[in-house]
This record gives sequence, C-alpha cells and structure tokens, in this order.
Amino acid sequence: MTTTMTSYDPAVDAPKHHHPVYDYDSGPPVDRGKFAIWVFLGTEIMFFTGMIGTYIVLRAGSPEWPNPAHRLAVGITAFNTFVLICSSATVVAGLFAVQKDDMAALRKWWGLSILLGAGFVGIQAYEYVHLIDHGMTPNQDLFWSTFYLMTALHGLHVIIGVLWLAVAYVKILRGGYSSKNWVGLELAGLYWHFVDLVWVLLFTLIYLM
Amino acid sequence: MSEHPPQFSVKKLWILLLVLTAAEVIYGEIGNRNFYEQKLLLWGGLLTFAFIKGYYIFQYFMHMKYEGAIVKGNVWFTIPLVVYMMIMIWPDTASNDKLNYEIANQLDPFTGKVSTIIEGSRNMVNKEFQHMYDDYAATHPGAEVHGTGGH
Repeated sequence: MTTTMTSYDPAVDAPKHHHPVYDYDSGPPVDRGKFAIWVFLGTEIMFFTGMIGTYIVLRAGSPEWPNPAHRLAVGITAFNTFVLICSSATVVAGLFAVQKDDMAALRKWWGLSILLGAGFVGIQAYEYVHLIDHGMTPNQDLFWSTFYLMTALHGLHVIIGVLWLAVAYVKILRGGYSSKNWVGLELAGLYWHFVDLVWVLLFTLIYLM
Repeated sequence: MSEHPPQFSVKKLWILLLVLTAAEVIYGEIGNRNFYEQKLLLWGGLLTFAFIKGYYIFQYFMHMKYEGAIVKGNVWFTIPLVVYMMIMIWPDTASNDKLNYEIANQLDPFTGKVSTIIEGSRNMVNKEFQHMYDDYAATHPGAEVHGTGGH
C-alpha cells in the first residue's frame, strides 16, 4: 500500500540539514570573504579615481592654481602620513602575530593600530579647525572645494577603518581569532591598507603638487 | 585564508616607506622653491615616489604578491581600466586651451541652420554666438533674449 503526501509541511518534512555536504569544495579556490573585499576595493578604486579625476580636470582647466605649500601645513600632514604608514605596519605585525598564535603580540599591535588611526583623524580634525578658523572654507575657491571634498571623504574612510579595527579588537579580546582562524583580521587589514594607499596618492596630489 | 601566509620583514618595509615619504617631502620642498615651474620634473618626481610607495603597500602590506590567479586577475584589471579612463577623458576635458577643435554641430535657433563650432575655447564659443543674440535683440525690441550675458 502506498501513502500519498497531501500537503508538504517544511517543519515536519524538510530534511534536518539544509546545507548539502559535499566531499569536495564547490566554490572557487579562494576565501569568499577575501574575494568579496577585493571586489569591494575594486569599486573603491573607481570611486577615488572619479574624485581624483575630477580634481585633475578642474585643476588643469583652471587658468591658475595656488602653490599648496603656501596654503597648507605640509609638515604636519607629512607627520600624519608617517602615522598612517606606521598603523599599516602594525596591522601587518598583528596579522603575523596571530598566524603564530602569539595573542599578546596581536593585542599589542592591533591596539596600537587603532590608536594610530585615531591619531590620524585627530590631526586632520586639528588641521580642519585651524583652516576654518582662518576662513578657509570649501566655498572660498576651487582649491578649497577639491581639498575638502577629497580629504573629508578619505577621512570618512579612515573613521570607518578605525571602527572596523575596534570591532575586530573586541573579538580579539574575546578570543575569536587564532592561527587557524584569522581571515576576519585580514579583511579589516586589507581595507586599512587600502585607505593608507589612497592617502599616499592624495597627500602627493593635494599637498605636494 | 592564504595557502602560503606571506612572510616578509615588516620592519624593513616600514623603514623603507618612511624613508620614501621623507625623501618625497624633501623633494617637494626643494622643487617648490627651485623649479616650481618645471612641472614635468616636479610632478613626475613626486608621482614616482607616490607610485613606488603605493606599489609596496599594494604588493606586500595587502600581500597581492602572494595571492592566487583569481584575486590577482580581478584586482589588476581595474588598473588598465583607470588608465583607459584617463586616456579617454582627460585630454578632452583637462584643458581649455585644447578645445580648439570641432565641438559639436549645433542648431542655430535664429537661422534654422546647423552650424559647426570650430573655434576656440568654451568662452570663445559663447562669444561666437553672442552676435546672434545681439542681432535678435536689436531687431526685436522688447523681446526676452537669453543670451550669454549683457542683456
């Protein structure tokens, strides 16, 4: 005698395990998170290219352009560039530490990275306050418009990066990473290095050229 | 997770990047004082420093050097895309002086003929059309004419 199923109730009839388990990896031979962050960074490259492109077009089309050294405190920002490069180096040192299961070193390097990142934001805020105090607001001329456009959007990236590093730090303190599981830290690091890389270009274009 | 975790000396790379940054700032300082008008020398030098630093951050800190073909292929693709964008757009838009070629065929609203603008920069184009607005305003007293200025 055969039984006929009259209605399908997923709560009763669905298999317990929804994820099929294969004896091979069905995905591409690359970590999904890493692939995703690189695709995202690809869009970020195009985003900053659009902004830098706009700056170059406006600058080249202007009859004259002020020497940035006469308007901006290059020394302070050069120091700030040092700070950001140091924070990139400490992130890498943290990543190497977690790969060796050296959690004390990881906490030290990662904490230092957050402090350096926050320091960068602080120095930039200090610069902004002084510039605005002297009447250098975005509506003054094209130099200041493009200056604030690019540095503020990059600064926003730095703030997001610091928050990301901080969230990862909380997970580090809770023992969420080990030499077997550190991709989350690598993703935060990739974003952070990208922000550093963009700053290297912006610093040259805005402050030195 | 990388199959082969990258191993390089963070300290050496860190020092290299700091030295390059210092050298770049000093070069910029000297350049601004001594050869500010020689843009190719000043900008070329500065951009060389920036690209070398960017290359090391990209290859080692972001360990692109140690990635497999899938990640490399996806990311490196954006670089020629950016270069293509620059080549296609910037020469046309980046300098008013270079806008001395045919811009467009435009319908002359007064004569009904299509005219081709071939002269000068954007401002020259406006001057080119100005007489039409002036003529129209002169022959049509009281008419509201939206010219490029002066009415």
